[in-house]
Amino acid sequence: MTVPHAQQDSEQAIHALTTTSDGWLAVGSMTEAGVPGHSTVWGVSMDGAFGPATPLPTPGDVPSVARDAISDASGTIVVGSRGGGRESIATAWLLGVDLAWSMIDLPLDLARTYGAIADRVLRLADGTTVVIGRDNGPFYSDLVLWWSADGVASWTSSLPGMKSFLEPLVATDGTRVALFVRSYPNGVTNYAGHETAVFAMQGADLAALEIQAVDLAPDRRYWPHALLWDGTQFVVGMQLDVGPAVATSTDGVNYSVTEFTAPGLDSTAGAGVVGMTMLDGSLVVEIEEQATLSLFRRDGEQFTALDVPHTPSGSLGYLDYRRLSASDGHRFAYVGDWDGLTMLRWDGAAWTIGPVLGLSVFRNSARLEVRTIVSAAGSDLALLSEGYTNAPGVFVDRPAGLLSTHRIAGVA
Amino acid sequence: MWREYTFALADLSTPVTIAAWRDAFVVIGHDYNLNRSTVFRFDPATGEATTMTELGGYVGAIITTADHLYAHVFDRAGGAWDASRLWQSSDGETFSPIDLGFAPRALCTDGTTAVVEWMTSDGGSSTMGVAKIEGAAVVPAEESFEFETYQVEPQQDQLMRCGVNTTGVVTTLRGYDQAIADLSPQSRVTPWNAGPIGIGALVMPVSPLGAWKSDIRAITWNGHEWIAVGAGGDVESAWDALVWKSADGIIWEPAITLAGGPGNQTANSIVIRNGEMLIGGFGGQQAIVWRLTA
Repeated sequence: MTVPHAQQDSEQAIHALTTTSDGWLAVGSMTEAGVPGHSTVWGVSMDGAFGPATPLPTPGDVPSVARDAISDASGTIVVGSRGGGRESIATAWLLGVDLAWSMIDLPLDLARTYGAIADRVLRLADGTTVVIGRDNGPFYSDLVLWWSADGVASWTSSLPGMKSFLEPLVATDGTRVALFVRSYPNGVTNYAGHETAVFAMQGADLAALEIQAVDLAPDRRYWPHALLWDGTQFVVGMQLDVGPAVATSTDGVNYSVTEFTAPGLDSTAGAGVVGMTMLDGSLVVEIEEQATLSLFRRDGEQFTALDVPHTPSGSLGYLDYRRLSASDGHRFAYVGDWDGLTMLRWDGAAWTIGPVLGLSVFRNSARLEVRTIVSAAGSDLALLSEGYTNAPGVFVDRPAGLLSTHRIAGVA
Repeated sequence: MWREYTFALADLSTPVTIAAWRDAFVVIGHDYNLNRSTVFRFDPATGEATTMTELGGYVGAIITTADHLYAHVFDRAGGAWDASRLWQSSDGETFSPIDLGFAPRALCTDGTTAVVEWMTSDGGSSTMGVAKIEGAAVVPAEESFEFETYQVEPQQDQLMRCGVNTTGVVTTLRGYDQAIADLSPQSRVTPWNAGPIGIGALVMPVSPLGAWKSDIRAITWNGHEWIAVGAGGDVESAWDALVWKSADGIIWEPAITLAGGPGNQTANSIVIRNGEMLIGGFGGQQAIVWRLTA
């Protein structure tokens, strides 16, 4: 039984944002009450107006989710998965010239593995489409690569033998594909650390050039969040135990770490680099601390704060653990929380901020929760709390009530 | 059908937990700003909640036996978990501390036997122990045990959960990190009498929908097997409500998904009654009670 205060609104989750020729494309999933969640895209116009949710075609009554997208002269492709667990199938959706979406399954060597999901998609300079994902569902712990010369029908997959317990961090300089993954370095299975790897096309294959175990900060804790090619080197954005930091590498496997400092940045141990982007050839670093975002742009050897708009009621906050920003190198958009789900846009000259209409602030922006149930002498009592969020994922609980019954009936 | 009561605590108080207490219930509320917990007695026959007493600090858990009520109290000002204490009361109004000699981590009971557990960490190794509580006395289990851990998150060992039956206690550590391989939920069985079990902490299976983290919220004994409830992080970074089962507390069957898909679903608590399981939690924005029959 659903208890009082039930809300039946649909839930939306945006998982990635990418630029298109006429604006942006947001991808994710949407759930209606009682129906498996389905992969969904939203077209966003250049002025930031979100279009209606468009479900992506998925056969069968199984959940599906869109995880990443890319749109360029070669076309628009969305990647994700359908189904779950061992039966999860890595999936790509393609936007045709008739503006209709079609779906394809990314191939997998089912004699060797099962249960796959596609996490990221990128395009190399020669037009090759590369998809990075994981298999061994339901754990999704092993790295899988797919690539296609045409980005449409002909795909090849590879199992490079690397662990990737989380969605891998991925970047390309146009030729090389650099990865930073959470794994078992050197196959030592009781120690989870990190590995770096660089892949590149060699003939018809996407081949591993080098794979290496790395520890960016020995004997310290750190959390890498983003990977980017800044034109001369690969850059990892991270949270170090003392605050934000970046690690740089020219070869994509050997990195050196620098604590991130900038005038006006008074960061603490809770701050980290959560994302990075390139704007007009300059690296922009996204710092998040206590759900508040600050942007710093590299100017020569120094970073300077970008004058991001603020309101008296707060700053643009970090939306989710998944970074939601996109740039074509000149214009930039960031979806976050600012008194509601908000899209912040930079058109090369000025910032514009506007609400994301029609979408909830977060999934579950307010919720009612059964905290505890106890039973005594035939009577059951449930303690309810009602949560309100003022920061992503952080709920402020209030007492909501007690549910009591002497005879259970009709419980869902 | 369920009947709903409004439950008015002091402003800013957060409901924490609830326990059956003789012919009524005890509800704990916490005022974070004042760092104060309030003990209420709630009588479903009248729908009224009355204040029994106030305790300084945060009461994270409360359990009851026929004769006693035990509260796990944390003094935030004193330094988080090292300052946690166990208080006991025979009437719900007057509480006194029990000198354990260690910082308790969790409490559990089957309604008859009350158990306190602890864990101390020293570098890469941790020592865990459990003890029965009998009034103001503590009777350690015959065995305190030590096991190796790695990369224990500072908060990870704070969130132990336990369940007890007549032969022993099952302890679970929730797994919560950015990789399931780091800290999947672990379980440990400690027998009340010397027995063949208790040789080490084992990794529990995680979500069948691809958990990248998992979290045990409650564990209980249903008469013939252990049942744990909690949540696993699904592929969208949201939570799925999960149920785990185990005959011996060591080998666990793969988790069953109570509710999954996009959005958050979580199972927080479980009660076994008359062969039925009542599981409380939420899905999306709704509070949910699941009833599972054997």
